[in-house]
Amino acid sequence: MAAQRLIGLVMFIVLAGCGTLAGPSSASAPTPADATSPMATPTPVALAIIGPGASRDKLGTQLRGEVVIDGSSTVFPISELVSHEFRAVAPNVTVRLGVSGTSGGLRKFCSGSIAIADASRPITSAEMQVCASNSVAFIELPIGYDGISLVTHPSDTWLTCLTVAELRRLWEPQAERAITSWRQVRPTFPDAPIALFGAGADSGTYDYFTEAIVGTPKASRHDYTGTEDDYITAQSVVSTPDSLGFFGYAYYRKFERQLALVAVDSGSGCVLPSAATIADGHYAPLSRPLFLYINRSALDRSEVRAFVEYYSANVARVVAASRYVPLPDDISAVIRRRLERRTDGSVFGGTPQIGISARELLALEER
Amino acid sequence: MYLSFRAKLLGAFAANLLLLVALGIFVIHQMGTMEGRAAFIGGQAIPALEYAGQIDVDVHRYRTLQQEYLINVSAADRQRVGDELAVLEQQMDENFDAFGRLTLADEQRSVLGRLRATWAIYTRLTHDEFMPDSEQQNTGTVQPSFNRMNPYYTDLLGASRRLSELSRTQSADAVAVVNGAYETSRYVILAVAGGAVIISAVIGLVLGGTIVRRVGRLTETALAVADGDLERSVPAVGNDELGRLARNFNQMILSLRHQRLLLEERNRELLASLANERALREDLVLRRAAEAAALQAEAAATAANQAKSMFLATMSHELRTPLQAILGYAQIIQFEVQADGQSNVLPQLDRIISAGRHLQTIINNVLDFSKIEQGKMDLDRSIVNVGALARDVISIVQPLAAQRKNTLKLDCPVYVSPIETDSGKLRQVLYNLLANACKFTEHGAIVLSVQLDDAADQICFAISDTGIGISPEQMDRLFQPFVQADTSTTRRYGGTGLGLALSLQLCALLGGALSVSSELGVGSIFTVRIPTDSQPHDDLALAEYTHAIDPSRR
Repeated sequence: MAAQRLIGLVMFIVLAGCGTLAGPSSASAPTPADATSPMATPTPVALAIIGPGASRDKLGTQLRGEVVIDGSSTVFPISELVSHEFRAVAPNVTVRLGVSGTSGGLRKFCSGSIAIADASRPITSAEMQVCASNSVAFIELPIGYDGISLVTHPSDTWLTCLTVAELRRLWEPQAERAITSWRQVRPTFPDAPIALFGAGADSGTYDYFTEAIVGTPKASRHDYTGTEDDYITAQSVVSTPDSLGFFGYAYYRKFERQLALVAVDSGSGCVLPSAATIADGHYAPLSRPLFLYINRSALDRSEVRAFVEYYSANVARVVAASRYVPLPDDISAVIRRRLERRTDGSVFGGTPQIGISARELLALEER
Repeated sequence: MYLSFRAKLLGAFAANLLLLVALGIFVIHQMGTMEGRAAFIGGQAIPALEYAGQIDVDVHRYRTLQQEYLINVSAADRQRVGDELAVLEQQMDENFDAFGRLTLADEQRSVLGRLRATWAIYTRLTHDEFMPDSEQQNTGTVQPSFNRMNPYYTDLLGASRRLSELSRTQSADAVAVVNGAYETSRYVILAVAGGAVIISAVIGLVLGGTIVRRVGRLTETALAVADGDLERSVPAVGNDELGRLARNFNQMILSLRHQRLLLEERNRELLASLANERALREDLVLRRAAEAAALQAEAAATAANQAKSMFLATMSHELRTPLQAILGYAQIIQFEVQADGQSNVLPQLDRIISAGRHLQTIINNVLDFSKIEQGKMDLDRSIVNVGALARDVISIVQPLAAQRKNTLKLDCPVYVSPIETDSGKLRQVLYNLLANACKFTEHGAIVLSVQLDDAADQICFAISDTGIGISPEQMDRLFQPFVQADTSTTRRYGGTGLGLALSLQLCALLGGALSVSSELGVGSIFTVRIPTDSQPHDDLALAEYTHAIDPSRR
């Protein structure tokens, strides 16, 4: 690991000295094996200006200032890991990492108060309008894949799989105060009161989940316990039998010993989320990409640029380390090029996209 | 089984004493338990509660300080909060140590261990992750780094709450034990007191009731007995004092009954003897009356006897005088006849003279007899030559003896000292006795023996014959006046029948005695005893004699 970081740092210095950014061709070819074992993935060097091993490096210590990040709690573990590492690289740079949910983060982002927003869904057209009205140009960086995982209390052994229709019946607004017993969801289920936990209204996960299951973003029953902090959701489900909760796959992995996964049947059988089913889009309709939105003008600040480039250079590794699914290398290359070019705007055009696969994403990126 | 009241009372007392001793032991034991539990509460449970509470408070404070750490952005504030956290950590360690030093139950110890381990993780996470992360996260609406510690915090709270709960349970248990011991003691004390009261009451009431009932029966019976109903008895139940009393009472009644029987018997005897005495007294009165009557009769008889004697004397005297004249003249005639030779009238004259003399003798005897009876016989005392007197009498009687062909003999010593007596009377006695012997003896021997009895100063004259004798029946009447041994003898032998009675009286008059012994058909011996110095007889002797011959007596 240290050796990798050292190599990364050396390469970064060389590249920095050239004043040019390496092209996609210089990136090592990704393999599926690399995606599932992120620790073994060589650090991409294209945009890296400093490596993790250069904590006491002169260049690193020269960097000062503040990088403020806010947004999705789903993306938070990735950004947290990166910020931890970056603190070692550039100790004089303060990285402020907040969690306000994707909507909350983008709200701040479009007001121009933060440099980077973590998002678990693409920016909406409404948000883009706010950004535009505040003259905030942004660069959209997909960083990895997530599958919104349905979890339940391990004692609920009967709850192993739910169809999308059942999920809809459970979560649609009409279910509020109507669907209160598991038996109403499926007659074979016990007559146990339903306890629902999930992402809060400011959460991108909530937006995505409602759109994917109910059909309309932010349309759901309200008699559930929602929070922008997935840790709270996880802890609640852990301590509540007959409960159902949803959050990012990483949170399931973090609590996998205390939680039971619930498979989703979207018409082709019950599928459990895993790195493979998320990556190939088999885990539908709850697989989705995760994004970083970067204030393009903030990249003018060296500390922000250094942070973003470190993030970008190590994204596959940190995504994997955070128990998410890294993007395929060819997409990574496209995305890195977008960063190099500081291409602003969203490839989704403000329209929510459900069940977008890596291929589709690549297609969108290359358009 | 009936025990004595004393035993019952002692038993009740012993039962109460036992109860009290048991109570005392029990209470001491309970107090020991309570004391032990109280000491445990004071020394263990309360400190445990305090430490558990302190741990809970400190966990909360720590959490609060963490929140302060999140909120306070300035380095100075964070420094201050960090210092406070460090102080709290130290304090928690002290709490844990102090808690660990207490005597703990296994669960308490395991919970404490878990708490401590969780606390160690929690503080480590605080220092390693929370504090560095918080320095970076201040823009978000949620605090993942803080929330991430929730499970540990929850564990800590749960463990500390569990610890409090255990300590509370421990205290409550100890208090419950104390309360239980107190309650048990209370109930036991109440029960024992109640038991003692019940025992006492039961014994008291039962004994009292029994005593009252039984004493009542005794009293009732005693009253009945006092009223005299001795057939009553008290049921002698039991071996106790009242039982014994009842038995003794029954025994007393039995004894009373027995005594009453004895008394009744005595009473009967007494009544009988009273009747007897009355009869005796009546008898005595009768006898006295009879005696008086007898005396009166005797007096009358004596008077009549005397009158008779006087009459006889007077009559004899009046008869003797003409008879003397008859005899005198008859003898004169005889002489003249003889002288004239007119022998043809001589036998008649002899008969007249003989009959006259016989009549004269009878009259003389009657006269003498009456004189003696009247006490008018006088003694003519003189010195008498007994031998001469005896020979003189023999000579006088000789013709009489010869008449019946009897031999007459005098057996007299050569010398007999003279005695002083009335010689005429002695001569009359001897003559009478010799004449009688001659009269009733034929062809026999008549002996007069004279003997001097010097020892008794008496002279004894014994006249024995070989005549017809006297039967014992005749002997009784022999000396009565006008009685002969056989009434037929007067006619056969003649006589007045006064001879022996007169002789007897004369002997008595002379101070001597006349006795007889005889065998029928063999002969008789008449013995006369005369004192040698014959004193004039006194009236007493005469009275005795008179009494002896009185036919009305005896």
